[in-house]
Amino acid sequence: MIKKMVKEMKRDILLGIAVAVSVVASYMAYVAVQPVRKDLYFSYTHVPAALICFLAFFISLIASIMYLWKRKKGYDRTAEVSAILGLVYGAVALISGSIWANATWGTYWNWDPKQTTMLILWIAYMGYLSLKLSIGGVEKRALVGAVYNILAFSTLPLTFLSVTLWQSLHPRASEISMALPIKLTLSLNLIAASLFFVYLLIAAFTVWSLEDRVNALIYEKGEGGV
Amino acid sequence: MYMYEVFLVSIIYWTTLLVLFIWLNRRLSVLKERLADLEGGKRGR
Repeated sequence: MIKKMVKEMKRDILLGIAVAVSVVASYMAYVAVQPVRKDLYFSYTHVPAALICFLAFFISLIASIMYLWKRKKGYDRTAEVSAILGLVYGAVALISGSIWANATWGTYWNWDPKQTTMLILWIAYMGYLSLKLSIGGVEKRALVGAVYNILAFSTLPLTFLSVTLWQSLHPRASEISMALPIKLTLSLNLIAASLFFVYLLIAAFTVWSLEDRVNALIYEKGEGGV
Repeated sequence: MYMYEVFLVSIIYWTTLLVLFIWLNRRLSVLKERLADLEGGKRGR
């Protein structure tokens, strides 16, 4: 009981820190630091969303590999939850990127290599979730899902390399020159986004674990599901 | 310049996080209640 309470308190403290860092990061982003290039304002949300999406898919990959190695259900659950969060962040990155593209390139979507490869990555992970939903057996679902996850992740390096491999309007990270205050502001926004992501990952993992426990109890008792 | 678009992107980003946060917490409280009911029932049997 006390252990549970401490665990919940830790989650609340993490949320508190995430909110506090976000408030400071947003103040710096939109009030204190004024970039000369006004389109850099987009980077404070687009860059964290895209990087957190990649991080989520990477965590999902590691969890899938761990599942194939150890065959523990927790790893499969982590892979699934992380992939779902990655998809949400990926959707935000795609939408915010399109709006940024329209503001600077004049069109929302022009099949730029970066946009296209990011969309491929996103569809590949939608496929991962669809595949998992379509398989009935728990173990088979986890196994096939883990193998597919490794294949889906192979599209991620393509997203990174797209700006070097093909001609792209999307700037490379090394090409963007930023003043120190803007770099600091962007870093702070990245930290805030990472903290929120960790919080959401823990919360989602807890929800999925509780669902399993509740369903197991319902099965034991022979009642209806939640 | 770009202020409307920047505002729109920020709204999309923060609304998404907020929706995720609210949905997860609501689901968490529903599941906790259900679990307490089920475990209470189990002990009562």
